[in-house]
Amino acid sequence: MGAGDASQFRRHSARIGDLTISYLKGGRGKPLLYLHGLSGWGRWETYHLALAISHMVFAPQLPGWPDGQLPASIKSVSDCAGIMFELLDAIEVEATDLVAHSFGAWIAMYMAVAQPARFSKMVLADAMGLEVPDVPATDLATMTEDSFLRAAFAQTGVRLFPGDFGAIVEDVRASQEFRRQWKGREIVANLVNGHYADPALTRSLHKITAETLVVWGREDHLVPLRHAEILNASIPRSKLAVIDGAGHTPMGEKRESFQRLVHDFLTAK
Amino acid sequence: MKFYTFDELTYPDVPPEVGPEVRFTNRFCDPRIVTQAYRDHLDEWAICEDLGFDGAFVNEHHFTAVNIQPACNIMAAAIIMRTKSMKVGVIGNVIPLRHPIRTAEEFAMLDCLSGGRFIAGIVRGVPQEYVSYNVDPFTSRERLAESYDVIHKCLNEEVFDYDGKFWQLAGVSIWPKPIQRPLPFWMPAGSLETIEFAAQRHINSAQVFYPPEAFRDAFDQYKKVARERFGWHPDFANFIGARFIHVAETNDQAIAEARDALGYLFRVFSRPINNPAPVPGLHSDQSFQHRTNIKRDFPGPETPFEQMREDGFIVCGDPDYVTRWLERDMKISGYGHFLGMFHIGNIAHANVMNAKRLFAKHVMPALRDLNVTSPTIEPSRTERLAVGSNNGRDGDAAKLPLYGDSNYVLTRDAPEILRDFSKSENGRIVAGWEIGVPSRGPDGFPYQIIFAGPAREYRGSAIRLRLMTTDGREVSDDADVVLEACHPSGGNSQLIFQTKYSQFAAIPDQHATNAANALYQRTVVAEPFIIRLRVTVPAGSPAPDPAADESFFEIECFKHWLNVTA
Repeated sequence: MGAGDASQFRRHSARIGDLTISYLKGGRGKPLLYLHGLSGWGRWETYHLALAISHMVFAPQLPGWPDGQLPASIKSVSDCAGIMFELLDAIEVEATDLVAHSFGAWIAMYMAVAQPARFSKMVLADAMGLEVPDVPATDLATMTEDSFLRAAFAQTGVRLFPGDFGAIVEDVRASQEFRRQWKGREIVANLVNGHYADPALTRSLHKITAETLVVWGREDHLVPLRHAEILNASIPRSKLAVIDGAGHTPMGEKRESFQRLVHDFLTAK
Repeated sequence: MKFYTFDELTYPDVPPEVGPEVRFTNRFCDPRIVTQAYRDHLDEWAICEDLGFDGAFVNEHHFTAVNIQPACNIMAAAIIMRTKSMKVGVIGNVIPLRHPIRTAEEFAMLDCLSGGRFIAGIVRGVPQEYVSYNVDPFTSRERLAESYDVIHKCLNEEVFDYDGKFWQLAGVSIWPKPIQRPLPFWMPAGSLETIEFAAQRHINSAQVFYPPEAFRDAFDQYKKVARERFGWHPDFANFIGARFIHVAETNDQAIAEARDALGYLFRVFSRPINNPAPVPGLHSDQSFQHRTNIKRDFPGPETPFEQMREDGFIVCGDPDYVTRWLERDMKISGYGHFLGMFHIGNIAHANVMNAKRLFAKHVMPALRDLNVTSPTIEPSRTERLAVGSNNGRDGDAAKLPLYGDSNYVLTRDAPEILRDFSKSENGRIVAGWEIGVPSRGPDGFPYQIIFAGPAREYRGSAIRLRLMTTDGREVSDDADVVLEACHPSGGNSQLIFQTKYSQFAAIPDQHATNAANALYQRTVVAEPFIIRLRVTVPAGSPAPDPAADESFFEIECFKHWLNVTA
């Protein structure tokens, strides 16, 4: 397996009740479900490619993201998890690895608690949803663009990161990634309606049997690092990796570090 | 300053109505146009020798109209046959994606074919190459290092085995070997990791496309790493600057001739197939941390030509403009080799020939003296290689390395050992080992043991010996040591090596690299002849004890069965 398999992907969709879930599919090998965070917009990203070198990746677009409107049938994070289970059934995937980010990781935890035997390896990156009373997650509804920028990103000015043929220079505030996260923030805020802590889920994490890697950006001020430590302590077979110089989106800000970490974890025997 | 020409060799005739689909298919390639392009480029390379250039370089890319010489060593061979004295190089071969022995063999051939004018080059490859070769890009740096290691051994060692992560090789000994020892290597090195790789191995570092300040960042990083990590001081000659270049009689004319050609280049420039995101694993998050100049990104089709001209993505103008621009560039960047990329995109052949003539006539003479003097002198690599024991012979021979890379080492534990012995002979005590030669291999072919004698490049096979006495000391310095081949009866004796024991006792650690004495006689031994290592001490001295735990010997040799090395 290599980069060629990973670079080939297709767009698919599945009918789930009255919803149409679009997903990208690419790679070769064992199935892997990728659940996006705030900025899920249906593009085959570098981190999809990295996962697809070793796995057949299914990357759905979560309900609400296609047009910014939550469907009437989605009233909770748990509902999203139900839709994802239905998607797995529709694409006939029984056992799968799971990589999930931010809001997607909240959904992933519901899935791994509900049907633990289906998931053998799981990566949770900057997961939302934990109840941590002394350092709660930030209320997305009340943020301004400026406060969101500072809370979500470790680097807020012009930054330089590796591209195909050398370094790429980008102003974070002007980037598409920032605009998309800002838009996704509103979808999540509308769904959870102020309830960023999920006590019942937090108490159920011990049911997870997947070998788990918790990955966190050290500078994440949307969901502080303390959440990572609690999460790591709550899941039985878990280890924690903290990425310096990254905020809420380590797969964007420290792309290569994140990808190597996850690649090594998923491919370790 | 040394001047070279360097070409991507871009396919010149993708029709103007063709859009991004050219990136995904060879449908638009007409092989007859390729033939003509090859001829034009060969003329453009060959003329450089007459114009006083120092050399010509080619490189490879794959699956792209930007570069239609994916087997660029073939093109280097063609240039070699069109030239007599200038250097010809590749920069380079994508070594993580090809067999390293094959690469080394081609490099050695090119060096012999050119009479020692070849400059080898290596690159790690670009994303679409990993994509279509379907190689895991997370392994690219490991593959680069291992392939280079194998290539280096092929070019510098006589025989070797290799047990790596990606390559397992046995009995490798390439023919031909290169004339130049060591063969010079160049490579582009822009990321922190590649800069470290190159500096550690003394590989010259090239930069391309970026402004002078960014070149300087990369070269400074290389100097820092070489000095602080690897203890040597790079010079101008370790650095190469490459730029698109076009020269015409006036600035306006030069710009008019080059602008569309560069636009063509961007039009046919390829990305990884079907995939808009950067390919993971080729770089790390730290790769470009040393870049302090981040004002300018890699240009694209939308970048104004004038900006690319200012930044030096292309140096384009009349001879005076080009001279002044390059003078500033060379002074800021600090490279000692300039690679001029004259054939830009689909620029007209006649314009390239004219540009080279103008460049050679007006620009090269004005810049020749730049970046020549060495700020520091580094001890030559040859001197640092010249370690090893002095075996008593004088002159240059004493500096030659021991004959390495034998395929077999005889020791007291080898299956060929017949016995150790200790006996009295004419009032003296003779002790040592008798060594046999296996009579027949499984198919009935005879074995031979070959001791390699000295050659121009080697002093002879290594022999090591430590011999204890029965009272626990080493034998005395004036003991006579003889290695001979003879009939079991003792007749037909042939002397392979003879010395005093002091020659061995003088070597502090015989297991250290190159710490050994050298055989001085080439000898081939076959059954029924045997090999004797005899040590003779005067009567009355403590008797040698070859069976003592601390007694040992090692003789490097070749064990040969038919034409298979065992």
